[in-house]
Amino acid sequence: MESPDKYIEQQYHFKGKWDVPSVCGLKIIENQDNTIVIATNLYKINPGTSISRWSAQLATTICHNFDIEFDHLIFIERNPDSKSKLDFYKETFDIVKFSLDTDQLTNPVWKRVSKEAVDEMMR
Amino acid sequence: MKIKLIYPKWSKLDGQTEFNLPPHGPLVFAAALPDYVDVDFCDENVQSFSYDDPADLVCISMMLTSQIKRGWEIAGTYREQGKQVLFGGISTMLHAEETMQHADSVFMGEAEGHMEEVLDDFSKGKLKKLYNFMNQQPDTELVGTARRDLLERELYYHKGVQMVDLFHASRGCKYNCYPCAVSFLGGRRFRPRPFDRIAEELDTIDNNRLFVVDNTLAQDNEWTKELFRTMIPFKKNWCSHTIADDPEVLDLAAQAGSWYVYQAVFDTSDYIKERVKKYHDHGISVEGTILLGMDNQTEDDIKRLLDFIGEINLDLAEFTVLTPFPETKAYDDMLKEGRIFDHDWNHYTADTVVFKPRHMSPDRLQELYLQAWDSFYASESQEQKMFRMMMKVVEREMEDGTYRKPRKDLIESSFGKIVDR
Repeated sequence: MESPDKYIEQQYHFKGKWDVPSVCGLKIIENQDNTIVIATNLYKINPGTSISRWSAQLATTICHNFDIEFDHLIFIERNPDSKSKLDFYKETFDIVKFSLDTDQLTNPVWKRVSKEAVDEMMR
Repeated sequence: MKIKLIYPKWSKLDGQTEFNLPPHGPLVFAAALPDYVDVDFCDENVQSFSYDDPADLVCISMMLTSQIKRGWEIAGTYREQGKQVLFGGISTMLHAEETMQHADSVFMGEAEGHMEEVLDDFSKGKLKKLYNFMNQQPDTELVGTARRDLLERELYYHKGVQMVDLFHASRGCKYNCYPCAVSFLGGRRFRPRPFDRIAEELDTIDNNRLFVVDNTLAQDNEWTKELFRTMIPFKKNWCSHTIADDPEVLDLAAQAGSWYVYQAVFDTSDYIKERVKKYHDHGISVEGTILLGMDNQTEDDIKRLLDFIGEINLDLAEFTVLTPFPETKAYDDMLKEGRIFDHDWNHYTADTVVFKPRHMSPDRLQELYLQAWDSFYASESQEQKMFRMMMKVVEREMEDGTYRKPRKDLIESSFGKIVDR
C-alpha cells in the first residue's frame, strides 16, 4: 500500500444540532484522486448529535477545517461494533453522497458498503 | 401576565383501557414561571377550552409526537386571532424545525432559570423565534415543585380511584438506547435533584400513589439508595422504570414503596427471568415492556419471545412496535435505509407500524403486535390483572394506614365523564 499524502486519525469535536457539543471519530486519508473521510459514531462518549443526524453539516465543516475540496470528498459513516447482542450495533459503513448548495453540502443519501470495499478504497 | 397553558389531546390506543394521568411536563414548566404570571392550564385530554379565554400569551406544552399536529392546529387558530404562541416540551424539541412553522416562538431545553428572559422579550414585543437553551441545562436546585395546584383534581379519577401523580427526582440519562431520545432531550449526564427538594415536593403531593418518571433508577446506586431512604417516611406506593439489579437497592426500593416497575423484556435470556424473579422476591410487581419489530427479530423470534413472556410470571405486559422517533438511532438507521414509509406523526403512537421491518412485512408485524396483546391477556384480561395489582397495593396501604377509599361522589365517573359501573 502506498503511503497516503495525508493521514489523520483523531477524535473530532463539533457543534451538533442546536449547537450541542458533540464528538465523533475521524479518519482522513488523502490519496492521489480523492480524500476519504471516515466519521465514526462514538455512542459511548458522544454527549450530543450523532453523525448520521448531522452528516451534511459535519461533512461541510470537516471539508472547511481540513481544506478538502468537495469534489474530491468521499464521506463514509462508520458505526462501530459495540459488542451488543443486537444486530444493529454491528460494524457498518455507509458512503454518503451529498448535493452541493453554494459552499454547503446538503441532502445526504446513504449507501451501505462492506468493510472490504472501504479497505479497497483506502489502498 | 396571563398565560394560557395547553396540553393538547391525542388519540388513545385502540382496544386498551384508557387512563389519563395528570400531566407532568406542563406543571414542571409552570413551576419555572415568575411569580407575576397567572397560569390558566388546560389538559385537553380531560378538559376543553375556549379560544376566547383571556390570555396574554399562549403556551403549548407537548410530550408525545402524537400530540404535535393537534398542538399546531391549536396554535394556528390562536395566531389567526392575533395571539402569540410559544411551544415547549419534549415533542416540541423532537420536532422543533417543523413546529417553528406553526409558532411565534419555540423553546428548546429546560425552562428553569430562563423564563424571565423569554417573558421579558414577550413583554417588549420582541419574542424570539427560537430560544435555544440546549447547552444551558439548569442546576437541578432550580427545579421547583410541579404546579399540581393547576390541575382540576377530580378529572383524574376513574370510578372513584385517583390516578397516580407523576414525580421526578432526576434528569438526564447516561445510557443511549436504540429506540430512545432521552439522551438528546435531557443530555447524557445524570443530573439528580437535591434530596431536600425531592422531600419538599413529596410532602406537597396529595396522593399516596405515584409514578416516579425518572428515565431509569439504575444510573447511580448510591444516589438511588439515598433517594429511597428519602422516600421511605412519605409512605407512598409508586411505579417506576427499571431499578438497579442490586439486592440492597431493591430492598430499599421495597421499603420506600416500590409497587411495580416497567422492565424491558428484549430477549428470552435467564437474565430477564432472574430480574423478574428478583423484583418479585422483594414484593415488587413487574410490568413487562416488550418492543416488537427490532431488526434482530424474525417472526420466530417474536413467537419465542411471546412464549417466554407467558412463562416468566409478569404481572402485566405492554407491547409496542418499534417506532422511529426523531433523534433516536432507530430513526437514523431507518432514514438512511429509506425504510420509513409513514410520516404522519399522528401514527407515531407505538401501536402502528410506520417502517419496513427487516424480517417481515409491515402488515405481518402489525398482526404479531395484535396477537401479542391477545395471547398475553387470553386467560385473564388486562383489567383483571390490573385489579390484582391494585389489590396488592391496597393491602399494603391498609397495613401502613395510608389507604384511601374510592371517592363515592366520583364512583360513577371516569376522568370527568359519567360511566356505567
